[in-house]
Amino acid sequence: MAHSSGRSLAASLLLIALASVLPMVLQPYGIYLLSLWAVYTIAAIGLNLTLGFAGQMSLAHAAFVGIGAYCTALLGAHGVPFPATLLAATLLAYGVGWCVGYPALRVQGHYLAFVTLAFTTLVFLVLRNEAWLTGGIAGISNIARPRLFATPTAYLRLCLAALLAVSLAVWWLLRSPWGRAFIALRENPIRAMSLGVDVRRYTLLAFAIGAALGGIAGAFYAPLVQYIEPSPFALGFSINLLMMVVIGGAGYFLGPFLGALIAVLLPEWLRFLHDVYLAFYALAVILLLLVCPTGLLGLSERLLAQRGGRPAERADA
Amino acid sequence: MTAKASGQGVHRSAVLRCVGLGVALAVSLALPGTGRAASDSIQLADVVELSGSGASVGTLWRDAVRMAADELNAKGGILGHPIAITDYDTQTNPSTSRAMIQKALDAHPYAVLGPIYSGSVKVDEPLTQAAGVAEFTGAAAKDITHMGSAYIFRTAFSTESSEPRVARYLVGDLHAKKIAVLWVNDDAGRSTRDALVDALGKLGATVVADVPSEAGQVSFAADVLKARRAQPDAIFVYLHEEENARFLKEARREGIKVPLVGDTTLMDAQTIKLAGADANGVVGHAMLTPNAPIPEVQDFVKRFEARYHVVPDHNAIQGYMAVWMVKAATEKMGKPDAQHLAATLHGMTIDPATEPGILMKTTVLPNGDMDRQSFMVEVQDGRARVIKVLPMLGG
Amino acid sequence: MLWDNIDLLIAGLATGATYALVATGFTLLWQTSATVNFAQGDFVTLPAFAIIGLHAAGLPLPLALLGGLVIALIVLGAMFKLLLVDPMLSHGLLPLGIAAIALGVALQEGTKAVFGAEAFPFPSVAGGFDLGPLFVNWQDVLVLGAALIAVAALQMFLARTRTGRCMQATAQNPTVALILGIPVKRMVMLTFLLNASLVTLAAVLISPAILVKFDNGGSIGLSAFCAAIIGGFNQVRGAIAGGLLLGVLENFAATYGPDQYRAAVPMLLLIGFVLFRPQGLLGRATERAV
Repeated sequence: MAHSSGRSLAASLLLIALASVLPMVLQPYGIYLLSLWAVYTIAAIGLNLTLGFAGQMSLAHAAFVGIGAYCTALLGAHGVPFPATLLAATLLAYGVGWCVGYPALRVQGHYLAFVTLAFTTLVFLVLRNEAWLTGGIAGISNIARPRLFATPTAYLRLCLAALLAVSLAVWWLLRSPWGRAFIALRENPIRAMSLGVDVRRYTLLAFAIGAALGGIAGAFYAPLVQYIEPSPFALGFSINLLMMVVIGGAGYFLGPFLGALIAVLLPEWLRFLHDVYLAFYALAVILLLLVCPTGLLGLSERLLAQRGGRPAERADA
Repeated sequence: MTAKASGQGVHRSAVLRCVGLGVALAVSLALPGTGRAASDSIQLADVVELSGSGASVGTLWRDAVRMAADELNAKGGILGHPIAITDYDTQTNPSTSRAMIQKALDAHPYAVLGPIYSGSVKVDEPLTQAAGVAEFTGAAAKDITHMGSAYIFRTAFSTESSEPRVARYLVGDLHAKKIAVLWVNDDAGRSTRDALVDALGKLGATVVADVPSEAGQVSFAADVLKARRAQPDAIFVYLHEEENARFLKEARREGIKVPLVGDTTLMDAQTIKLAGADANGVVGHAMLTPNAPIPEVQDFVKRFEARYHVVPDHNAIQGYMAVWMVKAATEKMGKPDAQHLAATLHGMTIDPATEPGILMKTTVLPNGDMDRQSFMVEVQDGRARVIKVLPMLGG
Repeated sequence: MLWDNIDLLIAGLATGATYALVATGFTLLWQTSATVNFAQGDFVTLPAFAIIGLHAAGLPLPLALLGGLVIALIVLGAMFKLLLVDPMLSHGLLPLGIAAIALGVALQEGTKAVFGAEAFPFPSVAGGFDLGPLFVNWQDVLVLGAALIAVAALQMFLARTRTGRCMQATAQNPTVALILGIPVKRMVMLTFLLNASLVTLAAVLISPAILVKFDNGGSIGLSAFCAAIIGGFNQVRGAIAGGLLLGVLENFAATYGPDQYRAAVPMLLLIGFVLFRPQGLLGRATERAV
């Protein structure tokens, strides 16, 4: 299982460690971007679990992040301490994710993509319209950070610690019988069923756990940006997360780390192009996918397999 | 394709590659800090919507800011210091806006111009406040200047100042008692609608239909029908320009005869361009208009059209004014003093007689709101005409 | 009341016809090449800009329309297929889907860089006629009529001509089609060219109403996806039924439903159809993708 090997875990730990010492040489802007990277990576790891490992095409992930972010901001405003809001956000997203999983029991592929897309839009409408609860379009300002982690550097380290915990947990999960069941589900659901995998339960779990990670990302997003409104959690963000997972390499443990890195940094690198930088970003994504449809990690594996003459290790086995 | 749980790895070079990427990350993030400007120029950070749904708004603002800077630099800058503008694109997204304002602040700008969408402003405000850098925003939402920052300045009316003027026109001039309110359900539309409904209530008028629509909505048949069924004396419309055009077309088709009243966007050049003859007869309040019967404004419009081949809208006028507000306050201080820029601006009145670039007499109120004349505008024969000049609130 | 509802119905049909045209090309691509074109909405924007651009450059309108069609055939038909779809199709739905989304972004940002972020008007047919107490725009009649004729002609082409039947065979089973001696590759290319023509027609018909703006594609695309799902993915005539139904329902829901949730109606419809009638209004049941 190339996607969850010890080496890929080591690489991700190395990345996190590197990120945690970087603030020494960084301006506040760099620290913010790194924090954003950590948060996006957590969300993308969640989507990678649902999509990359369990094969469920989901465009609902922005909504899960939104649910986590609003849960944290609203409870936090009522004085609930951060660990409790984090737990609440995780559980809420887990529950909602479980429910969103039900359509996946009936339909797959682009049908599932459309259902989850519709769900994301519905959540956006609720966040915007139910102003009595969510503050509506005016959003929620001045979201407090946990007192011990109020400075940019401290908050970055908190985000990185969360990323570390999530990485270890997911790494463990993927090597557990659960993880193997997820992959069996993606590869051949009928065969999985005949091997005794409870397809129904594991499909729902794939959604619920992926969603819970989205909720965690949201719980860290709200205090990071310190202001939330409904529009960042609309369809566009779901698509961005999907891009991160696919660019990095869906089904690879390291994929979300790289995908999020590129999503955060590539527009930054291209900014010298001024008015056309986003057009070039999009073209770069297309080129990347043309060269390596299985993402960056798929490409590196393919190149190595060719050079070393070894049998190509598939992303999926 | 079996799910065998062997530990054969992503190879060492993949690990190395990740580390390599990490190093690249470090280098690229460290770079912005080295971009400190030449010390004698005045750095203005233009943090504005250049992509996403706010792109059409932010682009005109940016163009006007550039024009103001070029014009000032041609005259030797501010107190001999040239102006340098750096653009930052918020992508009309608060989290990107926060990233961009941080990037801008890391370079220690003299002042921040923008953003215009209130969500992006609200996320930036605590940061400019903490850094003590004056921020000039085009946002109209009420709460922007109620957040306790002494560094936020509007270049436009808040909805709290403009909508009572619209309400007075509806109730006082048109004698309308029953009013239908059509609004786009986003940041600007919501705050405009709330302020107007509030102001109408105070004047004793009734809102007989309260119809939100979606940005990008294609058909306005249902909206017009709802307004028509409520049998209003007048219909107030606050939509974006494209939706204005679609609404007006539909209203004409359904034979709506009652006055159509708007605020700024309903009568602006873009709406008229898109709606054509259907825009004739609409009337409304405009905090800024390129048709203002003021020589300085007319002159600005000519220069802007010559340079960019489009009619400047209120956003362009605001961006232009923001640069001149910085100039006026700096000259009042006698030297570019970023720390005292905000304090100098509070309570300051800038008059085009001495500072033609400000275009219109502008008073900065203590909370960062501003006071200016504004206009009642009517579209006649495909042209917006000012039918009445409304005085400054402070007389 | 009655006339109000008839009015809503007519307006809804006119809007729905525009959705239907975009949705038709979308289902066509899906049928013959299993391509879910997430950039379909932005495909409509490109010919619209090309046409007003050529018109503004001095070409008379008919030539500008022709020029728009040619550009669409080259860029959105041939180039899209050869440069993007062909190399990626074998890798499944996901990479191609993402690449299409990225192409949509590139089209949006590209047109914005060239034409700016402002919207532009598009030439239309003026005037209308009275129908009882209602006034009906000729433009709306034109859109509805042209959409119906286009889809009917397409249906005829697919059912009655040799080429059309070859295309259908390709859609149903490419391998068998190949064995039968059908030039499968040419048929698939033809589908892409047809789609390019359909989006150009859609651009001409829709743009007077929705205007020409760089980011229009998002909402058109979403409505077209909905229409395609509602009508049934594997039926060309399903797309027109789905589009019309969606347009009409949107208007009635906006009139009689909860104000702020009008945008929820197409989404709930979408969810309902996918879960309970995935083959769509007119579609045939296919085996469930387990």
